[in-house]
Amino acid sequence: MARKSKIPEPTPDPEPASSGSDSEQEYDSEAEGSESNDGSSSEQDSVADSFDDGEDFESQGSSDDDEDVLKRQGDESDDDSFDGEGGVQILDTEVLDAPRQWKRDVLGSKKADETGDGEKVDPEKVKAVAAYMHTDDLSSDDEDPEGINNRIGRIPLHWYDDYEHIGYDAHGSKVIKSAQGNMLDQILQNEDDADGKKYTVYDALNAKNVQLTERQIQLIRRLQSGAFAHPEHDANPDYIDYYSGIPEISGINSNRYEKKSRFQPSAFEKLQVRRLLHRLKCGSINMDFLEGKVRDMNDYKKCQEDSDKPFLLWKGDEEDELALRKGPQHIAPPKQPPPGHALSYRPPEEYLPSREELEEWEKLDPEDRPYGNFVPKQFDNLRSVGAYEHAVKERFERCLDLYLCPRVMKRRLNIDPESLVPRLPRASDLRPFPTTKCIEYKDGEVGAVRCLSVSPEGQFIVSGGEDGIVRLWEVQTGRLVRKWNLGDVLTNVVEKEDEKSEEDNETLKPKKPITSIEWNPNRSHHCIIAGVGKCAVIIATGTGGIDDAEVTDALLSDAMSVKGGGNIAAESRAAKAVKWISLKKYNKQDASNSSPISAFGGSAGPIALLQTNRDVASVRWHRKGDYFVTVSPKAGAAAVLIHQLSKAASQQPFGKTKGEVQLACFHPMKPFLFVASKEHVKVYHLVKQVMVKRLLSGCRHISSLDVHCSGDHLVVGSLDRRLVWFDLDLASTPYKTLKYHERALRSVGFHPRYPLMASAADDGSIHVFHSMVYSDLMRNPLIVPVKVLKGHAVTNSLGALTMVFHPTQPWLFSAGADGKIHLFQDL
Amino acid sequence: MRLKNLRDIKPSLFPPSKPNHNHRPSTIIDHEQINRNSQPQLLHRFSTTIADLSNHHPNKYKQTMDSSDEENTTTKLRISLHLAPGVKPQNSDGTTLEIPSDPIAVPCNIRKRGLSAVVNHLLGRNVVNDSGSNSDDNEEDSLSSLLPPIAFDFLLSSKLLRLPLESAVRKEGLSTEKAIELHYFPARLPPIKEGEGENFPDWVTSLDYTDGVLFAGCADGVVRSFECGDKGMNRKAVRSVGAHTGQIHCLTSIAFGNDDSLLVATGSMDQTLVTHLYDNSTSSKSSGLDLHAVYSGGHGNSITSVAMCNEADNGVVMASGDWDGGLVIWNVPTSSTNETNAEETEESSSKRQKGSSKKKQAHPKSIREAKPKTSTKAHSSNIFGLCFGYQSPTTLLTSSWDHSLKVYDVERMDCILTTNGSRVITSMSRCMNGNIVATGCADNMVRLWDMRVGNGGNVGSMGQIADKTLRQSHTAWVSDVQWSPTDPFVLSSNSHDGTLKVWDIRSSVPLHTVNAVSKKGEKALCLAFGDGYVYSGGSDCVVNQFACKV
Repeated sequence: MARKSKIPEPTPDPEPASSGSDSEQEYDSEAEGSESNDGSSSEQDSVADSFDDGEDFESQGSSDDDEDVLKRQGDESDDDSFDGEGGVQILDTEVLDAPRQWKRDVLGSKKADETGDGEKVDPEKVKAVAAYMHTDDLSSDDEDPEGINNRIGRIPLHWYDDYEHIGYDAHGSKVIKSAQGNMLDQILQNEDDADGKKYTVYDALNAKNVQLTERQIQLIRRLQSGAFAHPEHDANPDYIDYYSGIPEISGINSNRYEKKSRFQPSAFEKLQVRRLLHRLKCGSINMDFLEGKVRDMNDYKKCQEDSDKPFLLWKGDEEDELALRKGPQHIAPPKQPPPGHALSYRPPEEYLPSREELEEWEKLDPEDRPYGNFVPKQFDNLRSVGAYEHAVKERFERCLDLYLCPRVMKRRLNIDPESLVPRLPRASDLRPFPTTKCIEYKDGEVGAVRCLSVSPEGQFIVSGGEDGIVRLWEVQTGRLVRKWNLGDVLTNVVEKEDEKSEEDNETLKPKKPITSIEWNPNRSHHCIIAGVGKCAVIIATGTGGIDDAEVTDALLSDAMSVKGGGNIAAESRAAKAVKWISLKKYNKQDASNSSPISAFGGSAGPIALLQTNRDVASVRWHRKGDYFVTVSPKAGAAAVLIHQLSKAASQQPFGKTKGEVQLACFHPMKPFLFVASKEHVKVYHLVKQVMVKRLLSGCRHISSLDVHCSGDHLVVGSLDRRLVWFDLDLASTPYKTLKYHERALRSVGFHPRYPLMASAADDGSIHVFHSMVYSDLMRNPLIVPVKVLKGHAVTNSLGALTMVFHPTQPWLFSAGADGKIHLFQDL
Repeated sequence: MRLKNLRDIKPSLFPPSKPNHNHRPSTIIDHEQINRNSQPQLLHRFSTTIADLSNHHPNKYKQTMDSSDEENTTTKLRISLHLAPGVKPQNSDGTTLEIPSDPIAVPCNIRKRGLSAVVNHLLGRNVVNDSGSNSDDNEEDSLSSLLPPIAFDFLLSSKLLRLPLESAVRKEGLSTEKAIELHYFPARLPPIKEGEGENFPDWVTSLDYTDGVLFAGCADGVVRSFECGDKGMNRKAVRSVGAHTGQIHCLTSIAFGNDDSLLVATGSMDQTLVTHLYDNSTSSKSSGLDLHAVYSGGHGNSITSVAMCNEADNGVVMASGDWDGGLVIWNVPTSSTNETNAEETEESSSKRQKGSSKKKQAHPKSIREAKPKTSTKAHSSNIFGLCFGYQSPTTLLTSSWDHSLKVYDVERMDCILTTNGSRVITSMSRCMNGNIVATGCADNMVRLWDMRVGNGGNVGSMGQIADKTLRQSHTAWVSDVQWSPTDPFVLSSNSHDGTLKVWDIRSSVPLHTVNAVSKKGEKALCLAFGDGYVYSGGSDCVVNQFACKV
């Protein structure tokens, strides 16, 4: 869309050898060069060089070659006399004929005519230049990326003549007319442009001067000269004669004869066709299959078959009906038993009732009769069987049964009872535990052994029995080391103390059994406490070494020299309940047994005696070996008494107690006291003097109690054969209640080191359990029965009365009513 | 062919070789084999014997030969017999025990007794026990000229043969292609009870034997000594001394000083440890057992074990263990030392019990009070077994109720090795020539430990010991175990079940079992080896003597 204002303006020749006239100034330096220096070989060489430079482009664009170059060079010299005027005119007309040639442009074109006079354009040169410049894309200069050009469209430009703007750009803002310089300015400008070899045209639409590129100039020149606008276009290409008209034989094997089979029908195809025909005849395929409408004949046949079958017309409605039906699930009525031989028209003889049986039958209630109302009868043939008289009635009753009797589906759980039993580890994996009786502790005729206790090191055991004698045994050899007759001691003391009270003497006459005994758990306190009759007796064992003997003596010194019923405040409750009596003066009668076992043992034998109001049932030490608790169940409020041995003092912790206290025992770590009545266990905090917990055992008569060494678990045995395990952290109800003994439980206990628990019962057996208590609070204790130890005969319906574990080994001592003490060990 | 006893062997052993017999006689010894091995003199003797016998018993061999065809079908094993190394080739009566070691074939299921008969036969001895098993008068006449048989024991790859030969070979994994090498040696005879000592007032709880003197510690705290000669011990205790007020737990004795006096140490339940001097030479003194020294200050509990050992510089070092696991090392004061402070110690020991103080008054000069050299808590429970290491008084083996066995270095007083078992150890004894230890356990077992092995452990890797441990044979607590002082393979144990068993560690079953107590139900508690005798004491309050000869 180049609009020219002063187009083909002569450009100044940059060449030093250029001619002086302005009019002869050429557009093209080369053209001018060739024009001015005619036949100059040097010039031609330079032109050829320039062409050589442009060879790359030539080869791309057209079919120019060296010949063409030579030709063009030849043409240069030939066409020197080419009239440049015509070219300009053509250019002018062309410009004038352009569709957007407006009035104003005419002026400009005239100007251009003036300036363009005398110019000579060599088309061949132009062509060469065009070829040279072909690198440039022929892109239009219409492109207006900035959008600052005038966008008024195809309207006459003179409409804007009266305005100071010429239109609007892409952004809608006015495009202001550029100031039209005067002629002088234009001339000066043209001069400058000519110097710079610039050709400028005036763009009327945008009202600005546009500098023409070389390519555009070339195009213009070519058009002016009447050549094709594009220099690349070869108007007269060389003729290539493709069809020579001479027949030629060529190609590979083209002169061979083709095989005959090429021209004959294929045998294989024939075979295939025959097969298909055969299948068509057989009916295994049909034309639809051949035409590809049916892919698989099997499916086709199936469809055919299905379509032949009758189908449910109302299919689907039925299901709806089933789904819609409400009410209980259908339950089939119970079937009637099939008819047996008795219902036969000709039953065997044995089914026919005799007369007596018939009479009996008559007497029976109709419901109890064997076949209801039917009486078996014999007929010769089926024909002679008459109608059954009760048929209607029986049918009616059956119908009544079916209608009126509600039928209920009984769900039967199909569970293997074995699977409900918890899976326990095998006992053999939980070794060691006591299994075998190995040592028996014998000393002639002793009555039932009621209680046992092991020394803290496990060297000795003490036993107390029905005969009131405390025996000290060596564990290893089973040798009886010492024995102390507490019955005699008691008799002596009470006789002297209570000379006047005759009725008390009467009651004391029969030998008092030793009900409870315990070795001091402190290793350096070598003494035992035993409950016998109304009293608790402190016995020094004399087993201590040099150091321990001193400690023990110091511990016992107060009790040994106690006077006036002990160091109890007179006004306290305990003063009435208990009286400490030193046994120093009564000790002489049994010299051999009062000598200590150890050479350094200090005193040995009964040291002091605590007399309570009622029979002592249980004595238990505190773990530190200074305090101990005695329980006299019948003593009411003074049932539980806590004593301090080192001070020979006692205290009565409870003012009143509900129920009959059976047992009491200290917590192994905390200042708690467990007090068991017949049915529950109460936990008291000794420092705060409050009840912490009340454990409901569910037993009727608690007979024994032991605390796990961790202090968090408690096991309780009862006379109603139950063993109850309490997890003190868990609840006040039992963690587990086990009922496996055949008779009343007499003793339960934990092993202080191994995860073992055992219970002794009146059936003479001792059950040993693996009782693993995990330190992980989330895991419940594992209780696995591992062994039943039998070794005690049941005498006077009493069996194993007591059991106690060895403190360091997985061994168990047990004693029973038959007077035997056994050591069971692991094997 | 199953050989139940020697009577079964005999007929086939001496088959008739009459020429009119076409049958190939059934023999234990393969004739062809012997022929092939060219044993002229043996064959000669063999044939003569056979000839002799066949004259007497024509009928009998006919019977045997009738069944001989069947018996030929039984497979046979080739064995070669050697006298076991270390056994004297001459018997006590001067006859040789050696036989040629060339291979012979024997039935595969032959047992110890059958092989014993073979060896006896090859030695030219009577193959029949002269215990009246033979009822045939003629035969007795003919064999009376032969020497009595010797019972032999056989070693198959250093284990005692207790199974039929083939099963034993298979168990050992030996090849039957080659001749199986068997070593034989005269079997150890069962201990024979040869009387008992006088009845004591209380249990005999510990025994020890040194240089012809047997010491017995009793539960009443009295130490008694017996003199033992070749004929065994005196029935009456020669000397006795009340050493303790409590039951004696342990007793050990050792030759002491340059003269023939012996030192006997006793530890007791009354927590005292004393040594007495037994003077062989003094016949003038009323009591030959004099209180030598009192050891105080080391233990705070019952003393359960004591061991003594001679040191290089003629001194004696003593170790004692108590119930609490405390281990104390003492230097036994020699007679040359401490004379000066005798008076002082007399006063200082005035706290002691009456029995000792009486002694003290009688011989005030000889009493010394020793203080512990070192003491440590070696175990967590009572030490029931102490012995010094083999040829090294610096190592001490201890065993305890806490299931462990430890080796202590006496000088540094630290534990070198700890071996944990699973059972309570009630007694321990060391082999005479090595640190192999036998322990008696509360689970009725006798266990063997090789303390030479770095990690301890039950004996298993040792080539010489048959099984990993000896099989359970006792039916109650093993109360004492003692190793034979003469034979490194033999040990003896007794138990609360009242039996005494003699074991050869090359076999897992005991060699012999005898009743060690006089009454049923009593417990055997202690054991001591003497010269050719074994002594056992228990709750029957007597010391039983058993002749235990090879």
